[in-house]
Amino acid sequence: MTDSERDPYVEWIAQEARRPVDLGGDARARLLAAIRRTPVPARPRHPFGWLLAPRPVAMSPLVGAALAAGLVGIGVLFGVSTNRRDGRAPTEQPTAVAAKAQLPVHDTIHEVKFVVVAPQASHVALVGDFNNWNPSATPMTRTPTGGTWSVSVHLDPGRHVYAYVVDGKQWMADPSAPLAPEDGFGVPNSVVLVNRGAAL
Amino acid sequence: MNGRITRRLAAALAFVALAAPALAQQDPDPIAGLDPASRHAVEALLDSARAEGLPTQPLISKTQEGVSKHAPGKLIASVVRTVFLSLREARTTLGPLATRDELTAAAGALQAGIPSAAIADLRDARRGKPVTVPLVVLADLVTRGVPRDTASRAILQLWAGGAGDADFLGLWRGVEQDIVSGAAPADALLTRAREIPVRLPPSKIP
Repeated sequence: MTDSERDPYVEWIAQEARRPVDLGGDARARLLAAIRRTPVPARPRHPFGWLLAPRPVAMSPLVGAALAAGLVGIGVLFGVSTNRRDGRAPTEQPTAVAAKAQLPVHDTIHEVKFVVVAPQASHVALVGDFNNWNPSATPMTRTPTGGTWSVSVHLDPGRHVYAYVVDGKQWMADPSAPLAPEDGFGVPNSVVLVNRGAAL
Repeated sequence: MNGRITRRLAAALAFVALAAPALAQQDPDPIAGLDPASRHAVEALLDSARAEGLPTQPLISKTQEGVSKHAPGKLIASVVRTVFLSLREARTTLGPLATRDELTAAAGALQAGIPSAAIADLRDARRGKPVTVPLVVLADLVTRGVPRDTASRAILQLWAGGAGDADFLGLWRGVEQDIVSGAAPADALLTRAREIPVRLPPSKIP
């Protein structure tokens, strides 16, 4: 198609479009002034917008080292929180297969109920190798009927040594459990054996 | 803006890095409450146990028990040493494959006065079977007054005859009841032991 074959109306539009437009000498200045007058659009106020917005980050080696040290610190804290607090290393898992006969034993949750008769006591606590022998860690509850005290605790499978503390000062072995030999502290303890499966 | 945020983030993480050791040390000290000399002695025993592959938890537990009972530090260190030596002898007697529970049960039996030869006889009678329950019952019987030789022989005979954990726990319960009722400990054991059926042929019973 040649120029002579175009529609005259289209030709006229093309000529008008090619004609230079005189904007005046101060057009650029007026345009910039108009831009400056236009208000900056407000950013959406999101509480964590400054965290979520992508941005380039430049930092000095010192700041980078601080960041790395902080991440290591978080890792240390996480590692500490996942370690056992009873001093037992992960490789020292108990492996015995016995169970105290009269105690409830479950396959996955080894909840053991301890019961002792102490009608004259005003406070009885269970202590043992499972609560760091802390008399305030596992207080027992008096049954509504009278002098029987009980508490249920979760125990790992294996052999555990324990005792009762009556009124904060009198230590006594469990009369319904095997005794551990007295070894120097004056009062023998009791032994409970927790199975991985069925009660014996 | 970017610089400010980066500085804040770096400051926060630097704080965590500096605070981590202090926070980590807030984990309860497992042998807290000991005087420095006793603590030093117990820590040395713990180090020795680790070096020999013995479980440290029984030593820590015994320390905590002593502290909780307000025992003198010197006595605690002495008792922990006894437990350590018992664990070591139990390992020698039962061998390197013994579990933690077998070791602690054997250590308890040794502390009750059971000779290591009797424990070795139990191990040899049924190799590969856990001896935790027979050892716990044996230590209990001796603690209740059954003579060591009588208790050792009876438990070995039952164990070699095929008695299981339930048999031993039933035996212990019966003997305990009889002693409370006034029976002589040795008589109670021998009477109750006869009630347990032998499951192995006589030729295999020592």
